[in-house]
Amino acid sequence: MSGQEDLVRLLHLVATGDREAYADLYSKVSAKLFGVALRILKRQELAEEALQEGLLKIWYRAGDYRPDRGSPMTWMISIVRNGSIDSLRRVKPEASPVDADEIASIADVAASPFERAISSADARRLKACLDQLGERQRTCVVMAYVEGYTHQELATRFDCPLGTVKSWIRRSLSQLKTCLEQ
Amino acid sequence: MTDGFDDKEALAAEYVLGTLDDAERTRVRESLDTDAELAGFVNAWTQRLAPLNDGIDPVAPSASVLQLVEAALDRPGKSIRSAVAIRFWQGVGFWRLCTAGAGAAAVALALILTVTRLSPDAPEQFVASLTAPGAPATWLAAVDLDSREVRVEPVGPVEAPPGRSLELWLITAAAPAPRSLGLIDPTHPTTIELPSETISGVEVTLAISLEPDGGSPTGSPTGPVLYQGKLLNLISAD
Repeated sequence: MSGQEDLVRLLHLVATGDREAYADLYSKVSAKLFGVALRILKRQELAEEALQEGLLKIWYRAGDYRPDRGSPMTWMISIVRNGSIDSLRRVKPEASPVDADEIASIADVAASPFERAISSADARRLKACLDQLGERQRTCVVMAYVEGYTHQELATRFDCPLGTVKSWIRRSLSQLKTCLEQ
Repeated sequence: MTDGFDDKEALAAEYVLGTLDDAERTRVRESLDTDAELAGFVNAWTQRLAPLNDGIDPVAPSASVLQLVEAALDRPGKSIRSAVAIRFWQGVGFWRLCTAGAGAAAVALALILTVTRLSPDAPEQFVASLTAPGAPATWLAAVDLDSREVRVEPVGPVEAPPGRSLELWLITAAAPAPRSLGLIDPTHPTTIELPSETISGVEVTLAISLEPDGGSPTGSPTGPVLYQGKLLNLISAD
């Protein structure tokens, strides 16, 4: 049984109220889910809160999972990611002060996910399409997704007008769609 | 638009990417149930960008996470219509600030939970679970805004030392000074009425502290805060 099939099986059991399956599922996915939350929220206690909320949503909504709507891991990450971003927006409505070291490290951070993300055909295709974007556009997209930055935060971090970032993002997403559909 | 990427899809894509602000995210989420096209876009973009998750390193969460979640699921009785999230404050500095001069209360136990109404149509019931790592105490607290009651229940063994009492406190954004709600039983569920005027706000905090027998003599809590829990709406769609 593949890892993915195993997760689908566990979600089906969780949907029936199987607490053992839930604990098993937790042992298999919690570190990845927490990693996602921590990248967005940065602070351990906020990330654990988002994880706990997400885990309860997974418990209550396991029956809503449909294999034809993506992998179980993508579904679970989406729940935790959305909760983490919501929490981030409530905690930090304004862009935080930028420090120079952080700006210098943006390119490195943005590049790193893709060095390790070429594990699947989907990932290879997304990487190829991101590579067709300009470097700053690509960095904006990856930073927004992984770190949860808003348009305003990206504009501050890149020291460019808000409108420029908005149009970068929108054009990048449009280009990505076109590229991925080829 | 002629590029096959209209405003609605752009909104969905940016929702998934995460760049929208709080109000925009709420708007998208509230539309998902009724706008199948928007929901389809969100799902498609979730799949398109999912490989970006591959590069994020797993990090093991604290052992208390599963314990707290399971404690919340263990709560018997009336159906839980709302979400639970638990915040564990690593430090006790906050409470120490509140109780400066109170001295070392080695056996002090305190917990805080925060109730957040996310939207006007959010369910009226909230529940939180709280434990004390390093101390064998687990608490569950349920807030029912319809009946204006809070029920605090020890799940694990909790002992108040002889001659000491556990006291429940209410803190709101409008009235940040802790207000006593009364004493609670360390061995049985305690239900306490909430003052009506204090719960209408967005955020409510409850705290339990260990006090001298019969309650705090000063009108303010005197124990360190070890834990905090926050309640969130489970029903909101993603």
